[in-house]
Amino acid sequence: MSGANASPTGRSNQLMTGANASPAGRSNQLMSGANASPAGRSNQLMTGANASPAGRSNQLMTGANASPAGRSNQLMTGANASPRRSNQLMRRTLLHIAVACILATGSLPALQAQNQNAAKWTAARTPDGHPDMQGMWARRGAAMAESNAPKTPLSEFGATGQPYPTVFNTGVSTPQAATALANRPAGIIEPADRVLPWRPEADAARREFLSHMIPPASLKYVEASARCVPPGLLGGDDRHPYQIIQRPGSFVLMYEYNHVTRVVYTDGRPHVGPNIRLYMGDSIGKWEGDTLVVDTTNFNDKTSFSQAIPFHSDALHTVERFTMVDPYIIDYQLTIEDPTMFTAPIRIAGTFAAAAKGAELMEFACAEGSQTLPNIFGFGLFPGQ
Amino acid sequence: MRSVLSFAFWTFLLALPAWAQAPARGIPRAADGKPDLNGLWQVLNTAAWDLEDHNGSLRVPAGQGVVEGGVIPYQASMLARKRENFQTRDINDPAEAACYMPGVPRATYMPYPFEIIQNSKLITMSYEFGHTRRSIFTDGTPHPTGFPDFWMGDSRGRWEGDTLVVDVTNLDDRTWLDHAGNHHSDALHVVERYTMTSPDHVLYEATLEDSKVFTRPWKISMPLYRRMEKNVRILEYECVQYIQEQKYGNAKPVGAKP
Amino acid sequence: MRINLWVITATAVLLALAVPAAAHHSFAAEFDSDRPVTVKGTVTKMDWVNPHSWIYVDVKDQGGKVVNWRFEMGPVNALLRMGWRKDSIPAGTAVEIQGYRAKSGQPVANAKQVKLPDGRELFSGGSAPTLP
Repeated sequence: MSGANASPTGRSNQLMTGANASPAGRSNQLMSGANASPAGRSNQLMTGANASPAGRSNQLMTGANASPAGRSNQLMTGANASPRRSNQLMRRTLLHIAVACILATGSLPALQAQNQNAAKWTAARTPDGHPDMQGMWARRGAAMAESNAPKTPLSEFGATGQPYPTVFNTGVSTPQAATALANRPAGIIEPADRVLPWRPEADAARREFLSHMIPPASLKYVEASARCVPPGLLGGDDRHPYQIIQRPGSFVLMYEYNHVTRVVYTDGRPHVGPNIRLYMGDSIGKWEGDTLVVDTTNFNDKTSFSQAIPFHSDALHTVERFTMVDPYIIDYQLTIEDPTMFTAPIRIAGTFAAAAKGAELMEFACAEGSQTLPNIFGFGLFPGQ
Repeated sequence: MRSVLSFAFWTFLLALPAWAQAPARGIPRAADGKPDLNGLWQVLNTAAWDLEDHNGSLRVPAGQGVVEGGVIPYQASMLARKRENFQTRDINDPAEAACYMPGVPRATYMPYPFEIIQNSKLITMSYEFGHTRRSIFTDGTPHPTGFPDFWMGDSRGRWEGDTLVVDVTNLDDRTWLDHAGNHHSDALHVVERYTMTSPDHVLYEATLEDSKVFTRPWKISMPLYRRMEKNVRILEYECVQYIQEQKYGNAKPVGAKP
Repeated sequence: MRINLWVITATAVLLALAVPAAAHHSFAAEFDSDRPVTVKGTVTKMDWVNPHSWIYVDVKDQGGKVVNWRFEMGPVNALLRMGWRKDSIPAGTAVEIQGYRAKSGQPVANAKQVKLPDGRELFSGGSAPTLP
């Protein structure tokens, strides 16, 4: 464990790898630190320190070596080390990290045993008596991936691997990360074989549509996310976090991606009138015990479900269920009905996993910085572009 | 008795100015005691078209300006740039020509409602125009260092008594302050003040300083009116999509066969 | 000038085990997987923006003419969360970039890999090089 000589000005975001591995077993500890600094934050991910001697543990602890003000992100391999020494320490660090990673994948059974003890956990409550799900979350698993999806040129680039350097392919870090998420349900769970109950004419229409997307025959055949279309319920880029805020009378789900905000009204109001059509639909919610049930209607037909399902109809109706499982996991269930597309409802499961302490929602401006349409069509929106 | 009543009456009158400065009574309060700004708000002026006094023209309503002192104090060369902007505003105003996020303070006075979502650590402004949004962190954290600029800047807020004071930095220099071409540089620093003057009114004030563009800091102020309709909600004004359809709807990709 | 790169190595490694399902949009509409490109040059600037950050590189072609290439990467928020800052990659830094050329034929490509002359990778999450 290296010392925490956090920078004088700032947030410290430290990854320290631990020296004191347990002699007799495995440990996988992820601790997030937060010695509340007077004016700042610390976001620390520490692995492998002070492991228990006799076995496995998975602890989330809050600690405290924050800097007084501002931010710094440091990989500490020995404070104030010279570049040469820090390279040596860097190699040792990477070795420790590799070991921690291997141990992480190996300690699943321990975590399951842990979760049985966690069944006794009860949620903190908001003033109006509901489970407090507020905070920053990473969404995982909520995707509509069919088991026999048609070949689409959109996904063929996958053969060349990820198109960007690695740092862009991961999401917001979560303390639970791999082990807690590994066993959770994800994706289409009904039908269990993930063969969707297509109406034949709808399946044919989407295959026809896909055939015009690479190269895009016209604007509407450019993938929705590349046009900065509001993502609907499934199109969000989950590398970006979500934030939940609860007020009496509403539950707010903010997507960092494309700065979309869903206000789910729980004040008993009805849906808006049928001629109001929204990319994000109109959501009203009610609590069934400790589960928030969200009913959404009034969708327009302009959003996309997935790369293989590039559109839906405005007959879409969804029901979502949010249930907090433990302090770090919200179980997410999404039921989709679109009678013009499918002959039966489809159920999708996912997880909102608590983001690492200190994560803030950041601005994600889409159209302002996007070069996609100018690249495809050869001109921009302003004179001279 | 009459002299006591008379004394009381005159004392009451003389004390009125002090009472007028007391915190507004009857405003909703959050659990932490702060004024509760939750709800939908909107301006009723024409600042979005022009912050200064202006006459009516086709599709532009007349308006009395919201600038204290009447005139924005430009440096001479920067006033020339404002006039150029004005001439080409319909193709160069980033908010109107491209639906780019309007920045601060312009997002406040666009002619669309916005929702304030408030708790003790965070106040989120969710604007109907282009589903623009910004987070105002009221948890004591400072502006980050070394970050790039954002269209809606970085906002850190605190309460001074019953006034929410928001410090905004990191504002992208491409936004305009209104449709009349009023502009700023990357040195823009905005301090906003939100003061509830009644349960359904907020006095909004913003001080702008930008040493590359203006000769001194200057201030705007205007009321925000609560949207009172039952079951009112933010709807969608997705001008990015509308403008894309207009500009690219009939276009062919580069290299496509005719 | 040193590159000040503070990268959270293990976070990236741990997260490799939990990549989100719904990720970036396909760029097959903009880039050509049959036209890989590798360039060497010096950084002129970076655009720290979403939805894609960009790195601009002056590249000398065979005739000695300098062409400024533009390389698309992922969203800037990913970099900021990992500790990258606006001054992390100074102008003049020598880089070698591999990617796939834009279909438009412009000197534009995606950056699949960005390397320093000594072989160390940038933006990989796997190393935190310091430059002399």
